Amino acid sequence: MPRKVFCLAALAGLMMFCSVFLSTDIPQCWAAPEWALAAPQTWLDEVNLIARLIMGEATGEPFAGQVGVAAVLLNRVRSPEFPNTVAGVVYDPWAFESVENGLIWTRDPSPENIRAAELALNGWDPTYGALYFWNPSKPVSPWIWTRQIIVQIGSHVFGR
Amino acid sequence: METRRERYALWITAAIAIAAIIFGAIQYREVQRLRILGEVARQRAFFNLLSHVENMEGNLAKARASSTPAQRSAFLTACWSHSQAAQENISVMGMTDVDLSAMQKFIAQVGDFCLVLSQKLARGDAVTSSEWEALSTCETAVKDLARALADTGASAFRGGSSQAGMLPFGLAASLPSNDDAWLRGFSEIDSLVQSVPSPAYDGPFSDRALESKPLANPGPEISPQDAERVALSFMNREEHFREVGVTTIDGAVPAFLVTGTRDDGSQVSVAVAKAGGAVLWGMDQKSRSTPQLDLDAARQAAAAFLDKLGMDRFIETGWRKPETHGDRVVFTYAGTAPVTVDGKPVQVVLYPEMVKVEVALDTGEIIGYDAMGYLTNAVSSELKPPLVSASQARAVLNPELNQEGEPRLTVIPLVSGRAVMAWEFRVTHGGDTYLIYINAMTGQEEMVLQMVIDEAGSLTM
Repeated sequence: MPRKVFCLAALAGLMMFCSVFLSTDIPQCWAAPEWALAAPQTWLDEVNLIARLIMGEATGEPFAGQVGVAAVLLNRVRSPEFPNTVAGVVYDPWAFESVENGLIWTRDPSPENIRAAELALNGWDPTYGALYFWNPSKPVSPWIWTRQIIVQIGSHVFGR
Repeated sequence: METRRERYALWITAAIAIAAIIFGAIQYREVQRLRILGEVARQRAFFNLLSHVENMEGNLAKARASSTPAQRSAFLTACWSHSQAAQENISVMGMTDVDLSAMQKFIAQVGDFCLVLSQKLARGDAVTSSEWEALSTCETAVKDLARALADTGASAFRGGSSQAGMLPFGLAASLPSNDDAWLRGFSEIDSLVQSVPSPAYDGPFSDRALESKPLANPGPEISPQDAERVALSFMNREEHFREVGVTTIDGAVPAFLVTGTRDDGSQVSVAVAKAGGAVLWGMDQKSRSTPQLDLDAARQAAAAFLDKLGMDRFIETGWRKPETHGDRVVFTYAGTAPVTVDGKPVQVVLYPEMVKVEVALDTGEIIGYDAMGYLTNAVSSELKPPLVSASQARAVLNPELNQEGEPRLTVIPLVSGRAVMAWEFRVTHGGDTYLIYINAMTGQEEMVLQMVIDEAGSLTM
């Protein structure tokens, strides 16, 4: 009898594990809250959206690095290889890890994130035209290293 | 007693197992439902993309077959419109293992090229034979792309659809398409579009416009120590930095990035050009306290800062306070240079030579500076007297507009990256303010900007 109990308990545990595993496998780009998918119409909306991305991607980075992340976003808007709106670039599927894992909705951007977004919108670009940034200490696609590296600010490498 | 306890344990375990099975099944069904929703969105985007590319092809063919400039312009504009919609659909397809950026760029450049030609026709200019030839190359490539997309779609559903089905209790078994076929098809499309040469034209997405400009007047190479000295002098703060680091910035304008870190961890970053030692930009991270200065005091601080840098030929062209935190203000400046008009010297406002200065409203300190526009554009050396007078330019304006003040001679940057001399008219219409630019060499209207003016400053769009 104890063996049967053990088997059933193991089965229950396995089922629980499977259900939790499956529940985390939801493709998150489709699970985004509806309000977050609205396109920004004003400067203020764009500032907030960009600042939110900075918060998700560059919290703890030097201020110039935060402006750099925002500049990459705006450089993508101007590039024919990417969507041509701020919202299009931010929500481009799989483009930013913090959108993919939902981090950009977890808290509001800080005043520093907002200032970094505003400087980038006003034309500051410490990366001078970068289209990509990545953290070399994290696992990244080997493809990204084929890009021309422009500068490293903090833990982010910026390239195009 | 022992048996009863074991029986209870068995029942409880069985109940947990059944609950887990039900929970797992519900979760599995939800995951499958979301996967199918994702797949449906991807397929919808794919078929929309195919439809828009086919429409681009049709409009390109009609533009070439049409006999009148007006019809040609209409077809080319329609092609641009479909290219915009096609790009939108590419960006929502969410393909993870294949790079769609070459296709996105190809479609954007074809659309952009069509719009530029359409505007040319609308102005009454002739489209050259080389431009028609380039358009014909684009048409062939778009036709190939449409066929490749259609083949990809057909392969993706062949086989994949037969696997789709439903398990008991509404559990979907698999997705109604074949991932391998998508990947194979898009890899072939990537090679196809990369083999097409980009059209040579003046538009925002042309290869020429996308190139980053180098320094206009590079000087002799400086050392990292020189850069550190220049940056520390530029920071001009009588304060101690815990650490000062120098790294390099590569790319079109090679520079040294000098970063001073304070005891509280905040940083001042200054980029100094390797060729000549000019300060490209600077930014101070330090958080600000309650604003003490008004706009005029901040304006004086910014002007004094530029004077100290020897930039007294720059004039203010706008300002902007952040809407969310009013503790700082950004002023924009443009260079000026004289040109002779009717025997008299006239100051020309050089918008490409732009400088921005950010002032903290608590202490009046300069916390941001950007001279990349000024240092990478040398339009003052290319100035020629205008061929169109102010009164001739005024005659081009819509008579319903109300002109404010006198027009001024300017050099404006176009979206293509070129700069042209133009008369700037500030006008109002229906309660809105606009800046209208009439080319001072050809008399054509080059640009219309709408100004958004509020208590936070002004924006143009």
